[in-house]
This record gives sequence, structure tokens and C-alpha cells, in this order.
Amino acid sequence: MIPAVDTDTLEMLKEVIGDDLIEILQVYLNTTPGILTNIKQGIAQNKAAVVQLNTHTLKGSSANIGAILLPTLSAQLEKMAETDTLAGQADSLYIDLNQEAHKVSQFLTSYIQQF
Amino acid sequence: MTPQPDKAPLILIVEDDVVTRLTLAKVLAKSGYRTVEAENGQIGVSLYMSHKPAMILMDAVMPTMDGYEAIKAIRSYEQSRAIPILMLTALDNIAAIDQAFDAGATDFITKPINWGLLNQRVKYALRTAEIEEQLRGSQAQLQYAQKLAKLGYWEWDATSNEVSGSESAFSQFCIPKQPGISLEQFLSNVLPKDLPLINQAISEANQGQAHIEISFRILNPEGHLKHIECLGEVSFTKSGAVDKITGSAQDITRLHKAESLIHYQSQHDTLTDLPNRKSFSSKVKEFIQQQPSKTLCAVVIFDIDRFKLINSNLGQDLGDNLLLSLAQRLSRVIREADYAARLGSDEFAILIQNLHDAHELNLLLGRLSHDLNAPFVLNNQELFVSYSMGVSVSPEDATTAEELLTHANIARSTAKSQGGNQFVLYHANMNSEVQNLLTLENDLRRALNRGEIEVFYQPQVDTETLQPTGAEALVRWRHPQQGIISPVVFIPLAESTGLIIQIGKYVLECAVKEAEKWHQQGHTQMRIGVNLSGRQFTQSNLMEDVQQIISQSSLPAKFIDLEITESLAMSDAETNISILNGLKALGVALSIDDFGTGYSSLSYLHSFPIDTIKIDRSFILNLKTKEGRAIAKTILAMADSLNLEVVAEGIELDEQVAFFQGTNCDIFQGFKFGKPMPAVEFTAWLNNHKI
Repeated sequence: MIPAVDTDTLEMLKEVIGDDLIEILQVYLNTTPGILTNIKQGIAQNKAAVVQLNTHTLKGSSANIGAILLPTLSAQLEKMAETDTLAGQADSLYIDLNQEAHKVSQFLTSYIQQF
Repeated sequence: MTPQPDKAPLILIVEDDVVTRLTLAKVLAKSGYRTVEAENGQIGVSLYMSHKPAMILMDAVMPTMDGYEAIKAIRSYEQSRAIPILMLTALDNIAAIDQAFDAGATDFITKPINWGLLNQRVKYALRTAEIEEQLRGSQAQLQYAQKLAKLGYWEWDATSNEVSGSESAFSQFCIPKQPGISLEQFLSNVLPKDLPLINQAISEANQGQAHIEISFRILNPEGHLKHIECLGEVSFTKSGAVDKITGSAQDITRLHKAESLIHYQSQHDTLTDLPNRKSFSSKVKEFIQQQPSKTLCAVVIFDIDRFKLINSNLGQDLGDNLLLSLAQRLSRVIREADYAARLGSDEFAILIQNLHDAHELNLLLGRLSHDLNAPFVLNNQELFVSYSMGVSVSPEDATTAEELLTHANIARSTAKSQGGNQFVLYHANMNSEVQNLLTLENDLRRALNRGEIEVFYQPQVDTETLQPTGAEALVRWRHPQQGIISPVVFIPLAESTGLIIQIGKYVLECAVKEAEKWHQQGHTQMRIGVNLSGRQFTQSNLMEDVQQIISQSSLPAKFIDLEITESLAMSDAETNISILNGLKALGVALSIDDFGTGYSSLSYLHSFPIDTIKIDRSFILNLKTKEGRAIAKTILAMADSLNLEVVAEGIELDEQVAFFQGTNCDIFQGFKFGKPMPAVEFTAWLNNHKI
């Protein structure tokens, strides 16, 4: 199974930043649930602009901390919002995205504990 | 090695995603950089202006103002320096990278960011920018030094008989710079008597002399003699003939003049090097005698208010420094034909020659007083100085030099006794127009501080519903003695003195504050139109002022509508488009005022980032005629095809309203709906008219 987060990226960040990496991961863990909620509501209310902005943010923030699959899923959903084709597959894609986001968060939580 | 904390380069990070922003900040901080963070483009532009960072990392996609707009705003704002801006963008998005470079990005960093490489990229971009900056600096210094030394370089190719060289060399020889000019042409203004000197030098070069050092005189087209010194190095062909002569030319006229040192000192003040009282008197005498009696000239005598106090508070040395700085400034600001002198202690004089009319004198005095009033920086502190100035005009006030000087002195004493910080014209036989204008101008200088400048608001309504949509801010001057003075009278005065910049900024501030109040009272769609003048466009820090006002107000920028006249927009269309793009990027709306009165080129209009045109009132008046209606329809059709909003100004009659209803005209403004009124009255009007 592919891991949710690329440890090499995290290790590189740790090398460059040091202990402050924990603070960054905490901010990621704190902000991501809100972003997921925004995406979910955006899909439900068919607000493409909201979905586009929040998936774009999630794509960037998750890629930066080394998430592997989550940026790709975010990009797919962002593309749907951009082309205004949310009606249809967006719901099922969101379920995948949400699941993957939780995996990433779990991974990071335990990573912080072992820091 | 970690740089010193306060010397470390400051990097501005503009990124909406908090995780990425924080990571960037941490990584850069670990490498010893200082950082400042913004969460969208608008805040980014604002922080750029206030913090002057060494570099910017800019995200592309952000809410409120995206990275491209922010870069455009920054590039329009900055003038000489080009700050490195690295755009953060996804690698798979080629279009975004193109767009970034189009907007003015220096380079890009791909996302996800490779944290290990980030420092290298940043370091490299900073170093490149520093080298560019040094290069720019040394080029500017060289040019400045050459200009100061009145130094030019030139080269003569003997084989082709062509002379090339710097602008200043050509200007020293009083020849327009042109390629392929022959030596004979280049030397055509040399005094014929001195030509043999040059020929002698060239023939010596032909005999193997490798250095040239000669001085000769140039007769300029105005009939004045200039002394030029030329140094040259000769290079030879293999056969020993002259191949090229390369060298410098220096205008040593002043040096020449100063050669007779004793004579010079007897005529000049030793502290400031300005002519002294004796030479000023003889200069004025000479001028009056030589000129036909009708020629207008003026003598200005002024001294520094409370100079003794400055001297005793700050010390004699600093007092002397002040006099020296003042003398240097004076020499810089007067016209070439004018003549400045130091009459004694803190007393200075200027002979203004060859005036065309009183208006020109007025302009000159206005500029002089503006330039002299700028603060001096001495020992790292700013010193504000005011002056008492007396002016006497010949032939009106005096026909002899002595009279002219005496009268200017009397006027100066009057200025002093009235409290200083003003100029007074000697007024025995004075041209009343000049005096009125001068008085008014003096009053205008104080009007802002005394709160006499007011902003009035004229309603704008929707064409169909006739509901309020906004207002145009119009400036009024409530003069303590003369009552309300028309902008037609005082705006040209404010333009010519430069006061328009302060007044314009004040009006913009007031208007935005007022519109903010309307929004707070629930009129949340009200716009405010504010006029911009030409001087604000070309001289002031317009973008910075606008940005500052926007950031200090809760009023969203899109409700601020900046109006420029058609003739101003067209006056320097290319430059103005870039300023307008910068303003547009700050989020404000732009209108062309008095549309139809200038000579708009449609192709330009299309490239202006404007939202609205305001049809001039003259077209509204002409609606009575068939032709007038046809012209109005043409303007409407054009606006429609360019997708511009249309405001009709000067609406007074029901017929005019009826004509525009049902067309693409969006907004009315005119006495029919309300005259320009003070803020309080306008608020009352608004509350009465809004459902």
C-alpha cells in the first residue's frame, strides 16, 4: 500500500527547519478540517468558486508537507470546479479525498508524537 | 554564516495558504533572512510599499487580489529599482508561467516547493538583483559625475573622418548629436581664430605625438563664448599614420572666469561663492541700461525669518551651513538667465530678466517659494525655514537700478513686518492683476491648514429607477473674505503652484471617509467619484497615496471611482496607461471625465483600463438639435460596443431624462437631481431619496 505521506519530504523539512516543523504540522492539522468542510458544503450547494479555492489551498498545503495522493485528488476536484462539472462525480471524489485527508492527518499526528 | 539580524535581507511572502506561508517563513528564517507575510495580493502590495523588501515570493492564485495583479501593481509603482519577484506556481501549468512573466515576475519556483533547493534559489535571485542594482548605480553615478564635471568623451576615426561621442561632448561643441559627422562639421562652432590650434595639434599627432592637450573657444549660437579643454590619446596604424584620436572635452568656462582670483573674490561672497552686493548692484545697473525701456524684469530680495534665533540656537557653524545650502539651492532653482547674489548675512537677491508678462513672474515666484520652502537637512535633522520676500518690477515700479533695489527692500521689510513667510510686491504703481493673483495664491497656501478647502457632493442616480447610486466629490474653497471661490479660478492657480497635489490628496481622503459613512449607514452600493489632476498624475506618489487611503478605509476599493479628463488621459497615453493599470490593480474604478471634448483615439480608449465614460455636459445641451442627438447616440453606441458604463452629466430637463431612458446610459448627474452640496446636506438628501 502507498503510504499517505512521503517521509523523505518530512525529513528534508526537518533538516532545514528543525523542531519548528512541529508547529507547521500543527497548523496543517488545525486548518485542514475547516477546508474539508468548505469543500463539502461547496459541493452540496454547487458553489464552484468555493470548491476551487479550497481544493487549490489543500493541494498546495498537503503537497508541501509531503502528502502523496492527497494533492492529486485535490487537483482532480479543483479541475472539476474549474470546468464547472461538479454535478456528477464530485460527491464520490470527495469521499476519497476526505478519507485520504484523514490518513494524512493520522500519519502526521503519530509523526509528531515520535518527534 | 548567518547575516546580522537587522542587516539581513527582508523577504516578503505573499501566499494565502497558511501552511505553505508558514513553512516558507520558517525555512527562510532558519537561513537568516527576515520575513514579512501577506495573505493576499492587496495586503502584499501594501506591505511592499511600507516595508521595501529585498525580494518577494508571490503565490499565483489568491482571493481578493491574485499574484498577477499584485505584480502588475508593484511594477507600475516602482520606478528605478526592479525588485526580484519569484512566482510560486505549479510546474504542470505552462500558461500560468507565461502569465507570470507577462505580469513582470523575475523567475518562478515550482510547487510543491523543493525545500532543500529554496535557499539556493533565493540567494541566487538576491545576488543577481544586487549586481544589477550596483550596475545601475554606477552607471548613474558616472553620468552624473560627467555632467557635474561638464565632461564629454569623443572619438575621431581618421580613416573614415567620422566623429562619435557622448551627448555632453556634442553639446559642448554646440552640435546636435548625429552619427557619421565629419571632423570639420564637429568643429564648425570653434572660434575661427582658435582653429589653427587644433590643426597644429593634429599635425603634431601625424608626426607621432601620442598625447594631445589643447584648449580653445566655442562660439555658441546665442553668441556666448565657452572655453573648452580637450585631452586626447592618439592611436596609430601599423604604417605609423593616425588611426584614431580618443579623448575627453571639458567645459572650463567657469574656471576660466575664475582665473583672475582677486577680481573674482572682490565680486563674490567667500562663504557661498555667490556674487556679492557690489556685483549684484552693477549687474542690475548694467542690465537696466542695456535693455529697451519696455522690457519687464524684477528684483527679488529676501531674508530668512528669525535667522538670528537659528544661529544662536544651532550654532554659527550650522547657520553657515544653512546659508551655504540655501545658496546652492538658489543657484539650482533659478533660470539660467537669472542672477542670484548674497547681499549680506542672511540676505539674498535675484535679478529675474526677460519676463514676458506678469503671469510668468507669478509662476516663477510661486515656483521659487515652493523650492525654497522645502526643508533643509543639516546634521541629519530637518530644518524648516521661511522667508520674507520683497519684489519690485521694472519698468512699473522703478526705472533705475537703485530704485529697483530700494523698492524690493521696502517690500521685503513689509513682508517681515506682516509676520514673514510671504512675499510682498512693492505696490506704488503695481499691476493689480498680479497683486490679486499673488494675494490669492498666498491665501491658497494657507487654505488647507485653515480648513477652508471643502468637499461638496453632487448626487448621481440610476437612469431607470432614479435612485441614488453615488456622488461626485467636488472641491470648493470657502475664502474668509471673498466667500466661495470657483474651482475655475483657483484650480489653475493650484495646478501652477503644485498645491494641487496636497489639495487632491485631501479631497480624496475626505471623499472616501464620507462614502465610508454612507456605507456604514446602510447605503452599501454608493460610489464616490473623485477627480484627479494632471500634476497628481505626473508628480505625486499617486499609487502610494491611493493604496494608503484604501488600506485605511473599510470602503471596498471598487466603490472609489477615480475620474481623469479625456485630455489628460491622451496627453501621454502610453505612460498614463501604465499608471492607470497600476491604479486598476489596486481595485479602484476608473472614469474618463468630460468625454467627447478631447481628441480621443478609439484605439487608445480601447487600451485604457477604464470602466466608465462621463458624457460632457456640452453634448447634453446640444440634444435640442437633431445633430446633437445623433452625436449622443454615436457616443452611446461606442460605449456599448466597448462595454463601458455611461454617465450623463449636466442633466437639467425632463426631455434630457427621456432621451437617455431606455438606452445604455446608466447614470444621471445634474441639477435636476441635485446640486453639489456640503457633506451634511448630501447625507440628508441621501436619506430622503433612498427607499
